[in-house]
Amino acid sequence: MLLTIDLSSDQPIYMQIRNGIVTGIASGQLQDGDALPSVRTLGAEIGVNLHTVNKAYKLLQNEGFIEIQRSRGTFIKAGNAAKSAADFLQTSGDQLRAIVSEAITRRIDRAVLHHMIDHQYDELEGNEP
Amino acid sequence: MSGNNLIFICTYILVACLFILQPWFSRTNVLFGVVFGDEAIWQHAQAATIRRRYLIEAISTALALLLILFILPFFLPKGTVTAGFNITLFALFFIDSFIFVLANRRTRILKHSMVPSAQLTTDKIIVEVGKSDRESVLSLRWFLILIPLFSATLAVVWFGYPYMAESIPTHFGIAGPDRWVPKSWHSVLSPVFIEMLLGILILFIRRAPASVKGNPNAAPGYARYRKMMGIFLIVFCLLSELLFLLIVIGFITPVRTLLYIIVTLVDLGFLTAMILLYNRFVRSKRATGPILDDDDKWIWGLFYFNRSDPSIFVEKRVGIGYTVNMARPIAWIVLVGIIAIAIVFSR
Repeated sequence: MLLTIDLSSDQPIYMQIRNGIVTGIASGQLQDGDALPSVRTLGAEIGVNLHTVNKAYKLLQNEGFIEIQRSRGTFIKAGNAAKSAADFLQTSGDQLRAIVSEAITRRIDRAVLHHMIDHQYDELEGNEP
Repeated sequence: MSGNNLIFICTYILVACLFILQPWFSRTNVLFGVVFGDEAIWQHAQAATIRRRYLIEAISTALALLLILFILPFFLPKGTVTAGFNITLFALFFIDSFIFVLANRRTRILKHSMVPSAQLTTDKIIVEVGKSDRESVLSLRWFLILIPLFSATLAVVWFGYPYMAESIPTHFGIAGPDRWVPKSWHSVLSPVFIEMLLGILILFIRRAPASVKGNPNAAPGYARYRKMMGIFLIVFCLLSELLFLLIVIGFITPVRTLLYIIVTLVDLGFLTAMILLYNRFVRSKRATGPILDDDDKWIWGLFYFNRSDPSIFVEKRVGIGYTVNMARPIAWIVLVGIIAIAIVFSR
Protein backbone atom coordinates (compact mmCIF):
# COMPACT_ATOMS: atom_id res chain seq x y z
CA MET A 1 0.00 0.00 0.00
CA LEU A 2 1.28 3.47 -0.85
CA LEU A 3 1.20 6.21 1.78
CA THR A 4 1.35 9.82 0.62
CA ILE A 5 2.90 12.37 2.97
CA ASP A 6 2.49 16.09 2.30
CA LEU A 7 5.52 17.78 3.86
CA SER A 8 3.96 21.26 3.53
CA SER A 9 0.56 20.33 5.01
CA ASP A 10 -0.74 21.91 8.23
CA GLN A 11 -1.62 18.43 9.43
CA PRO A 12 1.25 16.96 11.48
CA ILE A 13 3.16 14.16 9.75
CA TYR A 14 2.36 11.64 12.51
CA MET A 15 -1.37 12.26 11.90
CA GLN A 16 -0.88 11.83 8.15
CA ILE A 17 0.83 8.47 8.80
CA ARG A 18 -1.95 7.44 11.20
CA ASN A 19 -4.74 8.52 8.85
CA GLY A 20 -3.04 6.90 5.84
CA ILE A 21 -2.81 3.54 7.60
CA VAL A 22 -6.42 3.74 8.84
CA THR A 23 -7.51 4.54 5.26
CA GLY A 24 -5.49 1.52 4.07
CA ILE A 25 -7.32 -0.70 6.53
CA ALA A 26 -10.74 0.76 5.58
CA SER A 27 -10.10 0.24 1.85
CA GLY A 28 -8.85 -3.32 2.40
CA GLN A 29 -5.34 -2.56 1.14
CA LEU A 30 -4.04 -3.41 4.60
CA GLN A 31 -5.46 -6.47 6.28
CA ASP A 32 -5.13 -8.19 9.62
CA GLY A 33 -1.70 -9.79 9.94
CA ASP A 34 -0.03 -7.56 7.32
CA ALA A 35 3.36 -6.35 8.49
CA LEU A 36 4.33 -2.68 8.64
CA PRO A 37 7.90 -1.37 8.26
CA SER A 38 9.80 -0.72 11.48
CA VAL A 39 9.91 2.80 12.95
CA ARG A 40 13.53 3.17 11.77
CA THR A 41 12.84 2.02 8.21
CA LEU A 42 9.71 4.16 7.74
CA GLY A 43 11.49 7.19 9.32
CA ALA A 44 14.39 6.76 6.89
CA GLU A 45 12.10 6.27 3.88
CA ILE A 46 10.06 9.42 4.58
CA GLY A 47 13.01 11.34 5.99
CA VAL A 48 11.39 12.24 9.30
CA ASN A 49 12.39 11.96 12.93
CA LEU A 50 11.93 8.53 14.51
CA HIS A 51 9.75 10.09 17.25
CA THR A 52 7.26 11.17 14.55
CA VAL A 53 6.78 7.61 13.28
CA ASN A 54 6.85 6.26 16.83
CA LYS A 55 4.08 8.68 17.81
CA ALA A 56 1.93 7.54 14.87
CA TYR A 57 2.49 3.85 15.68
CA LYS A 58 1.75 4.37 19.40
CA LEU A 59 -1.48 6.20 18.49
CA LEU A 60 -2.51 3.39 16.12
CA GLN A 61 -1.69 0.85 18.81
CA ASN A 62 -3.75 2.68 21.43
CA GLU A 63 -6.65 2.96 19.00
CA GLY A 64 -6.47 -0.78 18.36
CA PHE A 65 -5.44 -0.72 14.69
CA ILE A 66 -2.01 -2.29 15.02
CA GLU A 67 -0.07 -4.58 17.31
CA ILE A 68 3.57 -3.95 18.15
CA GLN A 69 5.44 -7.14 19.01
CA ARG A 70 8.79 -6.40 20.55
CA SER A 71 10.96 -8.85 18.64
CA ARG A 72 8.80 -9.71 15.62
CA GLY A 73 7.67 -6.32 14.35
CA THR A 74 4.50 -4.31 13.79
CA PHE A 75 1.32 -5.84 12.37
CA ILE A 76 -2.17 -4.72 11.41
CA LYS A 77 -4.74 -5.92 13.92
CA ALA A 78 -7.88 -3.97 13.16
CA GLY A 79 -10.09 -6.41 15.09
CA ASN A 80 -9.24 -4.52 18.26
CA ALA A 81 -10.49 -1.27 16.71
CA ALA A 82 -13.87 -2.82 15.91
CA LYS A 83 -14.26 -3.70 19.60
CA SER A 84 -13.83 -0.05 20.58
CA ALA A 85 -16.31 1.30 17.96
CA ALA A 86 -18.54 2.70 20.72
CA ASP A 87 -15.60 4.72 22.10
CA PHE A 88 -14.88 6.02 18.60
CA LEU A 89 -18.48 7.17 18.09
CA GLN A 90 -18.35 8.98 21.40
CA THR A 91 -14.98 10.71 20.79
CA SER A 92 -15.59 11.54 17.13
CA GLY A 93 -18.91 13.21 17.96
CA ASP A 94 -17.11 16.52 18.61
CA GLN A 95 -15.24 16.36 15.27
CA LEU A 96 -18.46 15.56 13.41
CA ARG A 97 -20.30 18.37 15.21
CA ALA A 98 -17.57 20.81 14.08
CA ILE A 99 -17.91 19.68 10.44
CA VAL A 100 -21.74 19.88 10.53
CA SER A 101 -21.56 23.33 12.20
CA GLU A 102 -19.24 24.59 9.49
CA ALA A 103 -21.50 23.08 6.80
CA ILE A 104 -24.52 24.89 8.28
CA THR A 105 -22.70 28.24 8.48
CA ARG A 106 -21.62 27.83 4.86
CA ARG A 107 -25.22 26.97 3.96
CA ILE A 108 -24.32 23.50 2.67
CA ASP A 109 -27.37 21.30 2.34
CA ARG A 110 -27.76 18.28 4.66
CA ALA A 111 -28.18 16.01 1.59
CA VAL A 112 -24.85 17.18 0.13
CA LEU A 113 -23.02 16.28 3.34
CA HIS A 114 -24.82 12.93 3.43
CA HIS A 115 -23.79 12.35 -0.19
CA MET A 116 -20.18 13.19 0.63
CA ILE A 117 -20.11 10.62 3.43
CA ASP A 118 -21.77 7.99 1.22
CA HIS A 119 -19.22 8.72 -1.52
CA GLN A 120 -16.31 8.22 0.90
CA TYR A 121 -17.85 4.94 2.12
CA ASP A 122 -18.28 3.72 -1.48
CA GLU A 123 -14.76 4.68 -2.47
CA LEU A 124 -13.11 2.97 0.50
CA GLU A 125 -15.29 -0.14 0.29
CA GLY A 126 -14.72 -0.37 -3.46
CA ASN A 127 -18.41 -0.02 -4.38
CA GLU A 128 -19.49 1.62 -7.62
CA PRO A 129 -20.93 5.09 -6.77
CA MET B 1 61.05 1.21 -12.68
CA SER B 2 60.81 -0.85 -9.47
CA GLY B 3 57.92 -3.23 -8.81
CA ASN B 4 56.51 -0.97 -6.11
CA ASN B 5 56.56 2.10 -8.37
CA LEU B 6 54.69 0.08 -10.99
CA ILE B 7 52.06 -0.79 -8.34
CA PHE B 8 51.78 2.93 -7.44
CA ILE B 9 51.28 3.94 -11.10
CA CYS B 10 48.70 1.17 -11.75
CA THR B 11 46.83 2.01 -8.52
CA TYR B 12 46.88 5.72 -9.44
CA ILE B 13 45.51 5.07 -12.96
CA LEU B 14 42.76 2.79 -11.58
CA VAL B 15 41.76 5.25 -8.82
CA ALA B 16 41.90 8.24 -11.21
CA CYS B 17 39.69 6.48 -13.79
CA LEU B 18 37.11 5.50 -11.16
CA PHE B 19 37.19 8.97 -9.62
CA ILE B 20 36.82 10.86 -12.90
CA LEU B 21 34.02 8.56 -14.08
CA GLN B 22 32.02 9.00 -10.84
CA PRO B 23 29.33 11.23 -12.43
CA TRP B 24 28.48 8.28 -14.70
CA PHE B 25 27.84 6.17 -11.59
CA SER B 26 24.58 7.86 -10.67
CA ARG B 27 20.91 7.39 -11.41
CA THR B 28 20.04 8.42 -14.97
CA ASN B 29 17.95 11.38 -13.80
CA VAL B 30 20.87 12.74 -11.76
CA LEU B 31 23.62 14.85 -13.30
CA PHE B 32 26.56 16.00 -11.17
CA GLY B 33 24.46 15.46 -8.03
CA VAL B 34 21.51 17.53 -9.33
CA VAL B 35 18.19 15.69 -9.63
CA PHE B 36 15.97 16.04 -12.73
CA GLY B 37 12.52 14.75 -13.63
CA ASP B 38 13.80 12.15 -16.11
CA GLU B 39 16.87 10.86 -17.92
CA ALA B 40 16.35 13.23 -20.89
CA ILE B 41 18.83 15.56 -19.18
CA TRP B 42 21.68 13.31 -20.44
CA GLN B 43 20.64 14.17 -24.02
CA HIS B 44 20.40 17.92 -23.35
CA ALA B 45 22.94 19.88 -25.45
CA GLN B 46 24.02 22.19 -22.61
CA ALA B 47 24.40 19.24 -20.23
CA ALA B 48 26.68 17.59 -22.79
CA THR B 49 28.82 20.74 -22.82
CA ILE B 50 29.07 20.66 -19.00
CA ARG B 51 30.12 16.99 -19.10
CA ARG B 52 32.70 17.61 -21.84
CA ARG B 53 34.20 20.53 -19.89
CA TYR B 54 34.32 18.42 -16.72
CA LEU B 55 36.06 15.57 -18.54
CA ILE B 56 38.68 17.86 -20.13
CA GLU B 57 39.47 19.54 -16.78
CA ALA B 58 39.50 16.30 -14.74
CA ILE B 59 41.55 14.26 -17.26
CA SER B 60 44.10 17.10 -17.70
CA THR B 61 44.58 17.24 -13.92
CA ALA B 62 44.96 13.47 -13.66
CA LEU B 63 47.51 13.39 -16.51
CA ALA B 64 49.53 16.27 -15.04
CA LEU B 65 49.68 14.49 -11.68
CA LEU B 66 50.56 11.19 -13.41
CA LEU B 67 53.53 12.93 -15.01
CA ILE B 68 54.59 14.17 -11.55
CA LEU B 69 54.22 10.60 -10.25
CA PHE B 70 56.53 9.32 -13.01
CA ILE B 71 59.32 11.77 -12.24
CA LEU B 72 58.83 11.71 -8.45
CA PRO B 73 61.15 8.69 -7.75
CA PHE B 74 64.06 10.54 -9.46
CA PHE B 75 63.82 13.51 -7.10
CA LEU B 76 62.65 12.05 -3.81
CA PRO B 77 65.07 10.32 -1.44
CA LYS B 78 64.52 6.57 -1.06
CA GLY B 79 61.91 5.75 1.57
CA THR B 80 59.78 8.84 0.90
CA VAL B 81 58.29 7.66 -2.42
CA THR B 82 55.21 6.21 -0.65
CA ALA B 83 54.55 9.58 1.02
CA GLY B 84 54.96 11.27 -2.39
CA PHE B 85 52.44 8.84 -3.91
CA ASN B 86 49.93 9.48 -1.11
CA ILE B 87 50.26 13.27 -1.53
CA THR B 88 49.75 12.97 -5.32
CA LEU B 89 46.65 10.84 -4.75
CA PHE B 90 45.32 13.37 -2.21
CA ALA B 91 45.96 16.21 -4.71
CA LEU B 92 43.97 14.25 -7.33
CA PHE B 93 41.02 13.83 -4.94
CA PHE B 94 41.12 17.48 -3.92
CA ILE B 95 41.47 19.06 -7.39
CA ASP B 96 39.05 16.68 -9.15
CA SER B 97 36.47 17.19 -6.37
CA PHE B 98 36.77 20.93 -6.94
CA ILE B 99 36.23 20.39 -10.67
CA PHE B 100 33.14 18.29 -9.80
CA VAL B 101 31.80 21.11 -7.59
CA LEU B 102 32.17 23.54 -10.52
CA ALA B 103 30.26 21.12 -12.78
CA ASN B 104 27.58 20.81 -10.05
CA ARG B 105 27.18 24.61 -10.00
CA ARG B 106 26.88 24.79 -13.78
CA THR B 107 24.26 22.01 -13.71
CA ARG B 108 22.23 23.83 -11.03
CA ILE B 109 22.27 27.00 -13.16
CA LEU B 110 21.14 24.93 -16.15
CA LYS B 111 18.28 23.42 -14.10
CA HIS B 112 17.06 26.87 -13.01
CA SER B 113 17.07 28.05 -16.61
CA MET B 114 14.89 25.12 -17.71
CA VAL B 115 11.09 24.82 -17.49
CA PRO B 116 10.41 23.15 -14.10
CA SER B 117 9.67 19.47 -14.53
CA ALA B 118 6.14 18.42 -13.54
CA GLN B 119 7.61 15.25 -12.08
CA LEU B 120 9.70 17.12 -9.50
CA THR B 121 8.05 17.96 -6.19
CA THR B 122 9.34 19.61 -3.05
CA ASP B 123 6.62 18.69 -0.60
CA LYS B 124 5.19 15.26 -1.39
CA ILE B 125 6.65 11.88 -0.66
CA ILE B 126 5.03 8.50 -1.31
CA VAL B 127 6.25 5.48 0.60
CA GLU B 128 5.35 1.82 0.57
CA VAL B 129 3.84 0.47 3.79
CA GLY B 130 2.55 -3.07 4.26
CA LYS B 131 6.02 -4.54 3.85
CA SER B 132 8.00 -5.77 6.81
CA ASP B 133 11.71 -5.11 7.32
CA ARG B 134 12.33 -8.77 6.46
CA GLU B 135 11.48 -7.99 2.85
CA SER B 136 13.46 -4.78 2.52
CA VAL B 137 16.30 -4.90 5.08
CA LEU B 138 19.18 -7.40 5.17
CA SER B 139 18.79 -9.79 8.10
CA LEU B 140 21.31 -9.53 10.92
CA ARG B 141 21.85 -13.29 10.56
CA TRP B 142 24.02 -12.61 7.51
CA PHE B 143 26.54 -10.95 9.79
CA LEU B 144 26.99 -14.20 11.75
CA ILE B 145 29.07 -15.62 8.89
CA LEU B 146 31.72 -13.00 9.66
CA ILE B 147 32.20 -14.25 13.23
CA PRO B 148 34.20 -17.54 12.70
CA LEU B 149 37.04 -15.96 10.71
CA PHE B 150 37.08 -12.91 12.99
CA SER B 151 37.33 -15.19 16.05
CA ALA B 152 40.05 -17.26 14.33
CA THR B 153 42.11 -14.13 13.61
CA LEU B 154 41.67 -12.90 17.19
CA ALA B 155 42.64 -16.35 18.55
CA VAL B 156 45.77 -16.53 16.37
CA VAL B 157 46.81 -13.07 17.60
CA TRP B 158 45.97 -13.82 21.24
CA PHE B 159 47.53 -17.24 21.59
CA GLY B 160 50.25 -16.82 18.96
CA TYR B 161 51.69 -13.56 20.29
CA PRO B 162 54.64 -15.17 22.16
CA TYR B 163 55.62 -17.11 19.01
CA MET B 164 55.52 -14.11 16.66
CA ALA B 165 58.73 -12.65 15.18
CA GLU B 166 60.08 -9.45 16.72
CA SER B 167 59.39 -7.53 13.47
CA ILE B 168 55.82 -7.38 12.13
CA PRO B 169 55.27 -6.69 8.39
CA THR B 170 52.88 -3.79 7.81
CA HIS B 171 53.11 -3.32 4.05
CA PHE B 172 53.14 -5.84 1.21
CA GLY B 173 54.60 -5.29 -2.27
CA ILE B 174 54.80 -7.63 -5.28
CA ALA B 175 57.71 -9.55 -3.72
CA GLY B 176 56.03 -9.89 -0.32
CA PRO B 177 56.40 -7.77 2.85
CA ASP B 178 58.52 -4.65 2.37
CA ARG B 179 57.94 -2.65 5.58
CA TRP B 180 58.18 -3.81 9.19
CA VAL B 181 57.54 -2.42 12.68
CA PRO B 182 58.63 -3.80 16.09
CA LYS B 183 56.18 -6.34 17.57
CA SER B 184 53.55 -4.85 19.90
CA TRP B 185 49.90 -5.56 20.73
CA HIS B 186 49.03 -2.45 18.72
CA SER B 187 50.75 -3.71 15.56
CA VAL B 188 49.48 -7.31 15.75
CA LEU B 189 45.90 -6.30 16.58
CA SER B 190 45.63 -3.90 13.59
CA PRO B 191 44.14 -6.49 11.19
CA VAL B 192 41.56 -7.49 13.84
CA PHE B 193 40.40 -3.89 14.32
CA ILE B 194 40.25 -3.20 10.58
CA GLU B 195 38.06 -6.32 10.19
CA MET B 196 35.75 -5.10 12.94
CA LEU B 197 35.51 -1.69 11.31
CA LEU B 198 34.49 -3.21 7.97
CA GLY B 199 31.78 -5.29 9.65
CA ILE B 200 30.38 -2.28 11.57
CA LEU B 201 30.26 -0.20 8.38
CA ILE B 202 28.20 -2.83 6.55
CA LEU B 203 25.86 -2.95 9.56
CA PHE B 204 25.16 0.77 9.12
CA ILE B 205 24.05 0.57 5.49
CA ARG B 206 21.27 -1.97 6.13
CA ARG B 207 18.63 0.78 6.20
CA ALA B 208 20.40 3.48 4.14
CA PRO B 209 17.73 5.14 1.97
CA ALA B 210 18.14 5.73 -1.77
CA SER B 211 19.80 8.93 -2.98
CA VAL B 212 16.66 9.80 -4.95
CA LYS B 213 13.28 9.69 -3.22
CA GLY B 214 9.70 10.72 -3.90
CA ASN B 215 7.97 7.41 -4.53
CA PRO B 216 9.01 3.73 -4.64
CA ASN B 217 9.63 4.05 -8.40
CA ALA B 218 11.94 7.05 -8.04
CA ALA B 219 14.62 4.45 -7.28
CA PRO B 220 13.03 1.26 -8.68
CA GLY B 221 14.13 -2.00 -7.05
CA TYR B 222 16.34 -0.14 -4.57
CA ALA B 223 15.48 -2.32 -1.52
CA ARG B 224 16.49 -5.44 -3.47
CA TYR B 225 19.69 -3.80 -4.69
CA ARG B 226 20.55 -2.66 -1.13
CA LYS B 227 20.15 -6.22 0.13
CA MET B 228 22.34 -7.59 -2.68
CA MET B 229 24.92 -4.89 -2.02
CA GLY B 230 24.90 -5.83 1.70
CA ILE B 231 25.51 -9.52 0.88
CA PHE B 232 28.25 -8.54 -1.58
CA LEU B 233 29.95 -6.38 1.02
CA ILE B 234 29.72 -9.21 3.58
CA VAL B 235 31.44 -11.57 1.12
CA PHE B 236 34.04 -8.85 0.44
CA CYS B 237 34.51 -8.49 4.21
CA LEU B 238 34.81 -12.29 4.53
CA LEU B 239 37.59 -12.34 1.92
CA SER B 240 39.32 -9.45 3.68
CA GLU B 241 39.05 -11.44 6.91
CA LEU B 242 40.72 -14.37 5.17
CA LEU B 243 43.48 -12.05 3.96
CA PHE B 244 43.99 -10.67 7.48
CA LEU B 245 43.98 -14.20 8.93
CA LEU B 246 46.76 -15.13 6.49
CA ILE B 247 48.63 -11.98 7.50
CA VAL B 248 48.49 -12.75 11.24
CA ILE B 249 49.43 -16.41 10.58
CA GLY B 250 52.33 -14.93 8.60
CA PHE B 251 53.46 -13.19 11.81
CA ILE B 252 54.15 -16.69 13.26
CA THR B 253 55.08 -18.87 10.29
CA PRO B 254 55.80 -17.89 6.64
CA VAL B 255 52.78 -17.97 4.32
CA ARG B 256 53.27 -18.28 0.54
CA THR B 257 52.92 -14.88 -1.16
CA LEU B 258 50.79 -16.52 -3.86
CA LEU B 259 48.00 -17.03 -1.32
CA TYR B 260 47.90 -13.29 -0.51
CA ILE B 261 47.82 -12.46 -4.23
CA ILE B 262 44.97 -14.92 -4.93
CA VAL B 263 42.79 -13.55 -2.11
CA THR B 264 43.58 -9.92 -3.10
CA LEU B 265 42.68 -10.64 -6.75
CA VAL B 266 39.38 -12.28 -5.74
CA ASP B 267 38.70 -9.21 -3.56
CA LEU B 268 39.34 -6.93 -6.56
CA GLY B 269 37.08 -9.18 -8.64
CA PHE B 270 34.30 -8.51 -6.13
CA LEU B 271 34.82 -4.77 -6.48
CA THR B 272 34.45 -5.12 -10.26
CA ALA B 273 31.30 -7.19 -9.74
CA MET B 274 29.94 -4.37 -7.55
CA ILE B 275 30.27 -1.96 -10.49
CA LEU B 276 28.43 -4.43 -12.75
CA LEU B 277 25.76 -4.85 -10.08
CA TYR B 278 25.32 -1.07 -9.93
CA ASN B 279 24.93 -0.81 -13.69
CA ARG B 280 22.45 -3.67 -13.83
CA PHE B 281 20.24 -2.70 -10.87
CA VAL B 282 20.62 1.10 -10.57
CA ARG B 283 21.99 2.78 -13.68
CA SER B 284 19.78 0.90 -16.13
CA LYS B 285 16.54 1.62 -14.19
CA ARG B 286 14.20 4.44 -15.22
CA ALA B 287 12.67 6.65 -12.54
CA THR B 288 8.93 7.22 -12.82
CA GLY B 289 6.30 9.05 -10.74
CA PRO B 290 6.85 12.08 -8.51
CA ILE B 291 10.49 12.72 -7.54
CA LEU B 292 11.55 14.77 -4.52
CA ASP B 293 13.58 17.82 -5.54
CA ASP B 294 16.02 17.83 -2.61
CA ASP B 295 19.11 19.40 -4.19
CA ASP B 296 19.33 21.76 -1.20
CA LYS B 297 20.04 18.71 1.02
CA TRP B 298 23.05 17.77 -1.14
CA ILE B 299 25.83 20.31 -0.61
CA TRP B 300 27.79 20.57 -3.91
CA GLY B 301 26.04 17.34 -4.89
CA LEU B 302 28.49 15.47 -2.66
CA PHE B 303 27.64 15.95 1.02
CA TYR B 304 24.22 15.05 2.43
CA PHE B 305 22.90 17.40 5.13
CA ASN B 306 19.30 16.79 6.23
CA ARG B 307 18.29 17.56 9.82
CA SER B 308 14.91 15.81 9.57
CA ASP B 309 16.31 12.56 8.14
CA PRO B 310 17.11 10.06 10.91
CA SER B 311 19.44 8.10 8.60
CA ILE B 312 23.12 8.05 9.53
CA PHE B 313 24.21 6.57 6.20
CA VAL B 314 22.51 7.20 2.85
CA GLU B 315 23.23 6.03 -0.69
CA LYS B 316 25.69 8.34 -2.45
CA ARG B 317 24.07 10.66 -4.98
CA VAL B 318 27.10 10.29 -7.25
CA GLY B 319 29.35 7.24 -7.20
CA ILE B 320 28.82 3.71 -5.89
CA GLY B 321 28.48 3.29 -2.15
CA TYR B 322 27.21 5.21 0.84
CA THR B 323 27.86 8.51 2.56
CA VAL B 324 26.96 9.97 5.96
CA ASN B 325 24.17 12.42 6.81
CA MET B 326 26.29 15.35 8.01
CA ALA B 327 23.35 16.84 9.94
CA ARG B 328 23.45 14.00 12.46
CA PRO B 329 26.03 14.35 15.24
CA ILE B 330 26.32 10.55 15.48
CA ALA B 331 27.38 10.50 11.82
CA TRP B 332 30.29 12.80 12.69
CA ILE B 333 31.23 10.57 15.62
CA VAL B 334 31.14 7.49 13.35
CA LEU B 335 33.12 9.28 10.64
CA VAL B 336 35.79 10.64 13.00
CA GLY B 337 35.93 7.24 14.76
CA ILE B 338 36.47 5.40 11.45
CA ILE B 339 39.20 7.81 10.35
CA ALA B 340 40.87 7.69 13.80
CA ILE B 341 40.84 3.87 13.95
CA ALA B 342 42.03 3.63 10.33
CA ILE B 343 44.94 6.04 11.03
CA VAL B 344 45.93 4.49 14.38
CA PHE B 345 45.86 0.91 13.12
CA SER B 346 47.34 1.46 9.67
CA ARG B 347 50.53 2.97 11.11
